[in-house]
Amino acid sequence: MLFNSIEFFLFLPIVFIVYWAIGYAHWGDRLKLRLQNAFVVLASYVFYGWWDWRFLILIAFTSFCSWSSGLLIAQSSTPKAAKAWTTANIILNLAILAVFKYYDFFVREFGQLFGISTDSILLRIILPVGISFYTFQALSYSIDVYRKKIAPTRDIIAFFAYVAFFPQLVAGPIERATNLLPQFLDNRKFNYDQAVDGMRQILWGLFKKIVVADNCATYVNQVWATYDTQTGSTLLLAAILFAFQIYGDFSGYSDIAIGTAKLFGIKLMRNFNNPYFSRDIAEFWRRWHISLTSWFRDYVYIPIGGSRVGKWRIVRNTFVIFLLSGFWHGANWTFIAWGAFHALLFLPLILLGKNRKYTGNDVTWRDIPKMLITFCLVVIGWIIFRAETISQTWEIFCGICNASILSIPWYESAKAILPIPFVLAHIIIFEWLNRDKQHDLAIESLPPLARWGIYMYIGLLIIAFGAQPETFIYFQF
Amino acid sequence: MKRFIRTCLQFALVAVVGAILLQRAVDYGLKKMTNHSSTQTSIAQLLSDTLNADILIMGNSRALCSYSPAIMEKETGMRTWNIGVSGQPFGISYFRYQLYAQHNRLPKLLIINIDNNELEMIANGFGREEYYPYFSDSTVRSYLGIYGFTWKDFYIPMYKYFGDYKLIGYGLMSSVGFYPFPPQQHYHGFYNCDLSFDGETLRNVIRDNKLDSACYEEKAILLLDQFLEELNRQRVEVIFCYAPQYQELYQRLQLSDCMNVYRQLGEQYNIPILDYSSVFWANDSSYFYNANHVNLLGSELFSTQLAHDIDSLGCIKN
Repeated sequence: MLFNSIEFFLFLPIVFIVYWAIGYAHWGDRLKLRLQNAFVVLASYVFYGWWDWRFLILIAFTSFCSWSSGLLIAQSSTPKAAKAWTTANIILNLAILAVFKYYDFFVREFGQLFGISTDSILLRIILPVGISFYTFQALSYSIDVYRKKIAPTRDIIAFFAYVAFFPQLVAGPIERATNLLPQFLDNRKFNYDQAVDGMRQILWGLFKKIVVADNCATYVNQVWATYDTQTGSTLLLAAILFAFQIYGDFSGYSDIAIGTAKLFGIKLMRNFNNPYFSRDIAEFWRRWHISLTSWFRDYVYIPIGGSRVGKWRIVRNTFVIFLLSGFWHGANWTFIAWGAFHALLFLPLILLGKNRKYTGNDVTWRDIPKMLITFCLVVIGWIIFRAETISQTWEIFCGICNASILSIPWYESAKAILPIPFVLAHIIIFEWLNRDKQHDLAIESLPPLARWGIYMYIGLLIIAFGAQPETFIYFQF
Repeated sequence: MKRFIRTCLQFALVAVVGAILLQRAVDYGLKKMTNHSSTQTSIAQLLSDTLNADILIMGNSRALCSYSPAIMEKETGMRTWNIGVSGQPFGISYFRYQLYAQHNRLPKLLIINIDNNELEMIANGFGREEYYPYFSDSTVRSYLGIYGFTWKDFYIPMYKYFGDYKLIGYGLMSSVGFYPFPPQQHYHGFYNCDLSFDGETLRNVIRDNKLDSACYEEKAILLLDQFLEELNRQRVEVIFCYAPQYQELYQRLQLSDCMNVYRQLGEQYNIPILDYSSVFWANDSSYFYNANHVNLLGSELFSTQLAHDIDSLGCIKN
């Protein structure tokens, strides 16, 4: 079920009403909690099963294994046994991920390397939506139990709700057990301000997805489909618009997810913090897909030494984390190249000790040149990310770097291209004005009339400038 | 919780009422606009009970620019109207005829333009936006269902205008009297195209090798059959008419299958076929504005000849 669909528009109020009807029933707190969690699991499985019910077994299996491993780790008599159970759970989860996401890639590459035909042993399985997200979420639980950051839970329903919570099930944010699981173990109380703020965040997320991302996608997809015949200026424009497309798409999804969770009294972590206002690449990675970046930092980068080691190991660790991050996105050399490209941009900063130069939200007009330079570097990365093969990446770079970059970019019709600068101006202005807030429509301090005026205006923008719905980019990861 | 539900309901109420009002304003404005890229006879006119033609012409763009109602009226003395629609085959023409028939007197003679593109239900680029302001009309709704419109388009306020900022803008502008385009000048739905020949269409057709593409679908043939039966019952006289086509193009078309369909239906319902495809002047590009369409000069010649033939053949019996 897509967030930007009529089905979800009907699904959400029904789930909301039943969920809080249970929460307000005159039953014991413990029973209400268990019933609410059971209902969350049911609703989440319906939400996921709407896409393909067969893969529900996979989520249930992943959840059960991680839940069991938590108990086994806690019951282990020796640290060695605890480590063994943790390792077993990590291997199991990564094996599932490998089979569904990476098996065909490795087999094909292996076959090409040794000139062997691998067609007969390819699995050609559909990639289950959101597998990378919920697998990492499940993994974080068993690792945190092993590290004694969280006590294992015996409540299997709460744990299943933690793994499958529908707002963030298919595209994150990738939650930590330390943040989300305790919320499922405690009675939730409805909070008016939180719920209203959630609605605002949903509205803004819909704007980002339907208006910004989908409008950009129309142009980007057309150009990319015929990239070999396009001029340099057109390819460059498409690359810039892809930067906004992927941002509007993914951060829009995150906003809707976080906003929806707020309606259920659940606080999810922030996933984006105005990443295109970053002044260097290190800051960009603290603002982009925060839940994945911090996951890799906490569970990979720091355990292998982080930056508190010798220079060569810093180089190695930086490459490990960026290459893994790239590979997490999909089984394609382009994602690995994208990771390597960012590692190369990040390395000078970390080696010179400047990777934490910008840590606050204190961006001003004077930072615009730095922001533009960072944005340009990020756009180069997005070209690698968007391309289907490395050779296509190269062809696109060659296509951009020639005299045709001075020509007027192609556009199919004024009607198709005109809304794009208009809607981009909106997202940039809103983000700039609210850059120190939790989200871009955190306008609770405005007078009611102004707030409602803004809601209606955004609603009107969605109606007038909404584009044909595209699926969320991050569903494929 | 109660406060939240109350706020949500208030928001929903304001949003729905706002959307309904906005839709009404846009609908109202668009109904006032008579400019449509595909036709000279707007839906508003079809529904207005004022056309009441004795001779009615239906078909695609070749019908639109070939049959001049002014000349036919002058020659036959009968009120004539052209409800042709550019770029669209029989499916849409049929639907427009139904709208006409429900709000106007039935014609004495119906001229159905025939050619290699007419026997289909719907073509790409179907000008759906022309029908948006009329979704409150049950006839419009019942016919448009088969063209991909759903209940969401019909009943969710503003859903049909989703993403069409231009149309919303035009509707709002004309609702307050600012028309984005000057009104069309036409007589009884005729597309008066006073242009000299442009060979690009012919070159494109030859280059893209579109000449032997399939030109009919079963669904459209069944609908035409059913339509002719209905006209027969209503005692509306019908003629099939092939308007002139530039010979260099015409001779490249593979028309036998299409024409067989028309011949069979013609025999079944006793409908004459008037074929002007190869009139003597069809070799002369000065009568055409492109290979498919006659210009004003060509339409005058053709309409005069057609009017005489209708008279001499005694096509209008009542």
